[in-house]
Amino acid sequence: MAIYLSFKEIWRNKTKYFLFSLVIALISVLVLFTAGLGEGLATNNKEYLEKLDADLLVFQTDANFSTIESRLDYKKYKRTRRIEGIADAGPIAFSNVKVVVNPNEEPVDVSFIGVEPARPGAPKALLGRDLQSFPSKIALIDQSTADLIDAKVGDKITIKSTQGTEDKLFELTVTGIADGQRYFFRPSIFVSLSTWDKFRPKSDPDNYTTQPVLNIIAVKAEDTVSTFYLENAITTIIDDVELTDIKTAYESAPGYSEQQGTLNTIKGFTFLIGTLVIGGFFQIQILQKLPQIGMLKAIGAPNRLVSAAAISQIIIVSLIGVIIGTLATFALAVTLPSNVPVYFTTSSVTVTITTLLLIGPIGGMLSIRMAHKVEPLTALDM
Amino acid sequence: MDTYILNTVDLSKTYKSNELVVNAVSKVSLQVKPGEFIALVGPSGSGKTTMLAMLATLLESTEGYIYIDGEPFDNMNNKQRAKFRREKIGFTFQDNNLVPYLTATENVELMLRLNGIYSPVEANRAKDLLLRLGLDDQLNSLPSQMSKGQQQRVAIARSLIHNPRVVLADEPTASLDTQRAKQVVQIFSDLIHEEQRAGIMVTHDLRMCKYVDRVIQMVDGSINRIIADPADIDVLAGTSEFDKLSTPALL
Repeated sequence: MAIYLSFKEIWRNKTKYFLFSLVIALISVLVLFTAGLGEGLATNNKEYLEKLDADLLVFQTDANFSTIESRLDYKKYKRTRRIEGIADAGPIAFSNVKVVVNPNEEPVDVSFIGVEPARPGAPKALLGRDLQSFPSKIALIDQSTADLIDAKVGDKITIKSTQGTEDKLFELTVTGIADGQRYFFRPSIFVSLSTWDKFRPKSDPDNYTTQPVLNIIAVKAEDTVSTFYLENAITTIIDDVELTDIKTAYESAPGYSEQQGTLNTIKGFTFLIGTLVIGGFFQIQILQKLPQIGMLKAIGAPNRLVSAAAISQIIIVSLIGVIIGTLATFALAVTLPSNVPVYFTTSSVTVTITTLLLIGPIGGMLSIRMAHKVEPLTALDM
Repeated sequence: MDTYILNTVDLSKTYKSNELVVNAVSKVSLQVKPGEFIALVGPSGSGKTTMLAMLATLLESTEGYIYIDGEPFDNMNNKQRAKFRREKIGFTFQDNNLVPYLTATENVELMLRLNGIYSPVEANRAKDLLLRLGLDDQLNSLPSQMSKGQQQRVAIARSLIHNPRVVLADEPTASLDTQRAKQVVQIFSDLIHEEQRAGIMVTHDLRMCKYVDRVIQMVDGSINRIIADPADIDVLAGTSEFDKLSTPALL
């Protein structure tokens, strides 16, 4: 009965309710787009770290868990691997280079990441082979790099690296392509640690060592060992290091929490605005309908029917608005240029849509309460 | 007592505000038989509407009793009152009678749906009732597409469709012109008589009293005069009470 009444009212006032559904749709677009942008920016920042097959990451003490600030001696990596309870460990070194796609075009910025093949930190290839130590001039690229420069397994790519005061060009053969492994807003190229140290940008090109300086060490614990135990063991044995989990590591990236905080604030305010707009609209609706609600109660409509009709109307209108908004957001996302990082994950979209559907009834709570309290005699002016 | 559908015994309603006590209705005893249609008349503030609101269980009495078919109704909570209203009472108001987004047929069917007795057979009965009220062309019209008179006729159909024992009408002709007002009350009266309901109409308009069986004049919350034969309505003329009725004309 409640659904019957609310459906009839919406159907017979299609234009009014459709326009209001569009307002909810616009709010949905804004919230979903903000969520997608937040997810996209976060993914661009953390994708590689988030997908690491590791339990803990070793950083230099006082580096604030920043992969850029942390510097670790190669010997520390070797000693770490020997600690009891560690199943495996891998060194990771970060740098940036450019990929020259075409001499007449602007080179593409990529993250240049040095790892030890088959150790934690080296991504698995989806196409071609996993990274090998030999030959040296080979690279595993991630899917976003492959898309960006249109590279395939077996292609040769040229990277440009500034060493000393000169821009030097190095050629690498793509032997494998991994899934998306973006790091710090750039697509990634993975090479062995020794190749990385040879080709990476550096101020003194002649200073080449066989034991490069790392940024972090990815550690995988044995199944029976707790990360708490392992953290204590490593910090006891290795000087000047501290450990953290992957989530803390990517959240400690410069600007990450500020960026996500800003987007979450925008999202929060949009939810608040949505709640107030929906609440305000339905409250005005109820105020306009007071005599009608009074009449319904006077002829015997129970309070729960009046309230249920009000809430089902809010739910129907919100649902239509959210569906339109979701479709519009996906349509908008398809038309956006590829450099706008808007990603939608099932979990973030589900959470956002659920929240959007909840703000309707929350916003309309006051109006439902108002409908519940309508006195037939007062409303009918008897 | 049981021969009456509606019976009130010393029904009173008193409003208290600080030290001010207002007796809106004072010890009113009223009996209405099956198929009897009565008019409650009186000046503004005489207690007619308060009386109607108590009979409709929209307002609790301060003292006295109301019996419907010999059964008292008191000590009911809001839920029970709502159930009582939708099952036992048919109501027509002065304004805001219809749900604006439901058609004439749907407005009448509303009472069937509220009572959980909606069925194709009942829906046909609703349609027949509307046809009988001369609304052949308005079955699928929204209230905004109908005249005031047509709306009132739909309201009458709605107040009768669920076979209530008591039918109440609060100034049903207030917003109608004389011709339409007479037509509406005539139909109302016919249906109450035919279906053996107890009907009570509050009105300011004495011209409508020729369609009722009894006229009860209320003054200051009490029954001042009962006119058993409405043809004698003109006995009120010339009294000081009549002057207070603000009636535009006699029959």
